[in-house]
Amino acid sequence: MKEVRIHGRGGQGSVTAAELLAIAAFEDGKYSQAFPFFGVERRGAPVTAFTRLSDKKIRLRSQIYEPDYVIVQDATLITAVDVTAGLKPGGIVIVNSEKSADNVGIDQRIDTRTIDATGIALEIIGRPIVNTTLLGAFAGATGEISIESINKSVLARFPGKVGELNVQAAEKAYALMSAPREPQKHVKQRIRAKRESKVQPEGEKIIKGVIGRPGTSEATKTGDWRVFYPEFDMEQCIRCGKCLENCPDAAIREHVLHGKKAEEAKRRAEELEKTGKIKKAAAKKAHIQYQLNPEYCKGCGICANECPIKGIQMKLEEK
Amino acid sequence: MENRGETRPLDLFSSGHRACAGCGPALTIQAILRATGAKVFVVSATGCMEVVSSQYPQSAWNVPWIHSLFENSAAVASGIEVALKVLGRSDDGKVVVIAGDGGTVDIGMQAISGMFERGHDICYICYDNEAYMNTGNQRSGSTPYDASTTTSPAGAKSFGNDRPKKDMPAIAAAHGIPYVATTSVGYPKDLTTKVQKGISVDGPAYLQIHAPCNIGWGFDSAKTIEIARLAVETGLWAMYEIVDGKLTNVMKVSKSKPVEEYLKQQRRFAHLFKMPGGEAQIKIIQDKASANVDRLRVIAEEESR
Ligand SMILES: Cc1ncc(C[n+]2csc(CCOP(=O)(O)OP(=O)(O)O)c2C)c(N)n1
Ligand code: SF4
Ligand code: SF4
Ligand SMILES: [Mg+2]
Repeated sequence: MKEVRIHGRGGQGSVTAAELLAIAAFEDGKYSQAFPFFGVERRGAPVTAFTRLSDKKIRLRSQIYEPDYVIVQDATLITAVDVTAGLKPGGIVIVNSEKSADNVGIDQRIDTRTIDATGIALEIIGRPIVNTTLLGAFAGATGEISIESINKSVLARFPGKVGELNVQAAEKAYALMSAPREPQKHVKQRIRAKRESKVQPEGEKIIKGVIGRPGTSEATKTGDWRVFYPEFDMEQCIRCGKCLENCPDAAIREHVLHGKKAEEAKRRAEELEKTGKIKKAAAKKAHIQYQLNPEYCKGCGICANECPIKGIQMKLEEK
Repeated sequence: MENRGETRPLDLFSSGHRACAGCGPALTIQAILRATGAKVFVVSATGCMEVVSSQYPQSAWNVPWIHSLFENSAAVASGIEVALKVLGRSDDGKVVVIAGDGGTVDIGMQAISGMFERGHDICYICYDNEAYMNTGNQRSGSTPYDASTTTSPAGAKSFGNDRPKKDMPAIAAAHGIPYVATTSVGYPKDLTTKVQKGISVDGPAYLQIHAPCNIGWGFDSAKTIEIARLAVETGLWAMYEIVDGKLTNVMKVSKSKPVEEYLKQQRRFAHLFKMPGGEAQIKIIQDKASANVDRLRVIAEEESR
């Protein structure tokens, strides 16, 4: 029996990936099982899903604590979650990242394979939905499953054009991952799980059932949920405040410049106004700056959509 | 804390809450608390906003806050309001309920009716995302006609939810309470005014705030406000006040947009544009929207005479 644990973020299709993999295993004539770990977290928050594949009937019903393979759909999870916890000796970790295996932040003793699944998905599917691409990568890297079965499973779930694009993305990842590669230099060994991170402020006593302190959700940096981030054009900005007003995460701040800095900003704005590059409204309030708080912005794009001068662009986050 | 030139006051609903990116209800709560200020006691019924704001041991709330059950937020609020009175602490702040549509128009109805009947000095606010979102998009009494949800799925034999949206503001008004209002997260000024009226009135107030959920309704997270505005511009969400039983201040939709503009952007209505017979359904929705706009206009005109 082989056990696979998938780490993703809500909305990235981790549960679907686990199910598609299980169905592909049926196609290969194996027994399989897929199920998610349920939490209250929403789109963007860390989630986990599991798949078991076996030549024999599977009687085990527990979560997977010691996986043979781990798929990480989003490299930002590596700092947030202990993705390699319990990995079996000789196990493989597949990470969606542009970076090389040595630079992705996973213990170098672990056999890690990286693939730019987001890039592939954006190029072929046109959306950063990486789950099917990573299944292709899994087939290529592990040989546990045939790419044909992955494709069948994907097409059964997503008929028509959408399915075909997903299959193309999976095949591209499969080809990249099954290509010959440098032999592994790392020593493979079991790595102990890290302790759970603290959520309560330092020195705070936890009273069961009671949330003792207000505003403590700020300890959770939801900024690592995002795929896109807003870029502000502060020169064109007319300071209407619509972005601040409409951010569900209070991730945009108004910052007022004083003294020399304010004068400098004003002078520059006046010059730009003279050349007709910016509007009067913008020049008058040059001492007011809007700043993004990247720790919390989830990248929803509301601010960009509501900006009346289209002065906010959503850019792909580099991870 | 050092003030580094930031002019915005402390957020009473803090960052770090776990609502989905672009969540309309989360933005609604930001707006509600900006309008009320810190002098409130908030009671939350179980639902998305309670769950995403209180992952133990953290809290997103910077005001006194309590989680009731799914069904009894109005009863819990009633107890708090009376306790404050008995303790002579009513001036410490207004009791405000913030609950979802399921917790309000379905399971919470009985407790709300009691609260209205007893005349508690409470502002009850329902953020209306038109289904049970916390548990994965099941229909509620507030789900609009023809919306596809997991318990009213569109398919060969159904166009989705076959019941009309329950008129909760009318039910609230029928209790003879002093203030009832509807508003939308897409109209922050209107929302602020109405929340402030709701908390300053003496006695029970009921507010229903239309708050799109991009996950359940199926639209791009950037479009939350755009969709909220379209609901009003197409006449599918009406904004008005009922003050001491009188319908007033109906927001005029000057040139109302065709309902398709609202429907076509959402996955929950996508079937209407694909299924045979969908067109006739859209016509039914259009007729309802138009009739709604006309009805409110006529009543408002009569009232103002
Ligand atoms: C008595 C009871 N029944 C069912 C539930 C499960 N439950 C939790 S939240 C919820 C739906 C909430 O819907 P709504 O009030 O519309 O809020 P939303 O999640 O949409 O914000 C349900 C059914 C519960 N907590 N208590
Ligand atoms: S993208 Fe969304 S979360 Fe980020 S700053 Fe803009 S409105 Fe706020
Ligand atoms: S499911 Fe909808 S209402 Fe619930 S947190 Fe997500 S966007 Fe908000
Ligand atoms: Mg709801």
